[in-house]
Amino acid sequence: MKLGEIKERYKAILFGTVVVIGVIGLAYLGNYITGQPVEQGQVRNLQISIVGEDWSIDCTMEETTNNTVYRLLLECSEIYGFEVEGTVWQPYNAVFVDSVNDVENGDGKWWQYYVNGKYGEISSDRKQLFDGDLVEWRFELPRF
Amino acid sequence: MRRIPDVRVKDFNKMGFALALILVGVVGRVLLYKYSNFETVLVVSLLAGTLLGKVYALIVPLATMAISDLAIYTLGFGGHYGIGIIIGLAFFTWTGFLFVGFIGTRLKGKVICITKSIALVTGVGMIATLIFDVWTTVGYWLFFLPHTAGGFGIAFVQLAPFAVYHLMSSLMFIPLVGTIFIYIHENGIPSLNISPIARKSDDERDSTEACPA
Repeated sequence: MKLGEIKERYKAILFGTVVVIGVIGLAYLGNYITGQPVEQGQVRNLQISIVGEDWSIDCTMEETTNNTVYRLLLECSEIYGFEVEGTVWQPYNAVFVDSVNDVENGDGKWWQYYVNGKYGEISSDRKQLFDGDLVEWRFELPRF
Repeated sequence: MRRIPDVRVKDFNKMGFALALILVGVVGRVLLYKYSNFETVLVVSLLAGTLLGKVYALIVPLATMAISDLAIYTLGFGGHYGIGIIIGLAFFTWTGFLFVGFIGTRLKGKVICITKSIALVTGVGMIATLIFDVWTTVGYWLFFLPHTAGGFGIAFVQLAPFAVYHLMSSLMFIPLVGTIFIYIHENGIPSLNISPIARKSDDERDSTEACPA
């Protein structure tokens, strides 16, 4: 094998290593930014308010194991018998809520959530809830 | 960077090569649609400009996006957007990929099948990915968010995870797809009777090349 060929092989191996390290690094960074999955745990005294354009639904959970914003919405939908549709987006492995009670996202309005009045900046299934939290789902234009 | 001095181009081969790029772009985009920002359109747009030149840098991204958008929206993967939003978003994504193809043309004649060239294409592709993401984020802001400074800011905050995964996609697909197409461009596929598009004189090829014919 000529010296040039050996050098080229080393360059190829080095480049391949850089690519693999880069991909792994970006995967970790992406996972860090999108937030970690929340393990199920018991929480108390949660309130959820869902506000459509001309209707609203309020639920109070004295005790539940649905300790994320999304799971609490699903629990409320089971109690009141309305539908929630969401899409799981990869590679984020995160849920995006498409419709609540037959009201679908569109025309610039989206289902957005707030916890204790603070706008939800991560996926609703990654947002952990704690005792006494107030969750609001609003179908509205983004408020910023 | 060495230039390829003797490039004999066969239009038929070029068209076949362009069709192969379009096929990879369409299939990759449709199959990976639910894996947000993992796509093969960027790499084929870049390679079209780099290996085939300006006309194909226009044709390949446009054809790939037209066919894949048609498939995605016909199959119902594209959500429930109105036609105005679909056309508006298409403007930003299509022109974004056209720009990537244009960036690719700046490398035309400078890329041969060696690690250094593939690394160069990958590096340029990573920069093109970021430019594409910034451009399409402007479109996202225009169509989905309030036209305020706050809305503009939140659009770029929300860009972060998308950009990270898009960079990851480019870092995976550009070396992989790029090596395969650069190899075929240079050496053809003798077993399928496909001749190379770019031919170099024998003295241009030295022993350092990773993809000898």
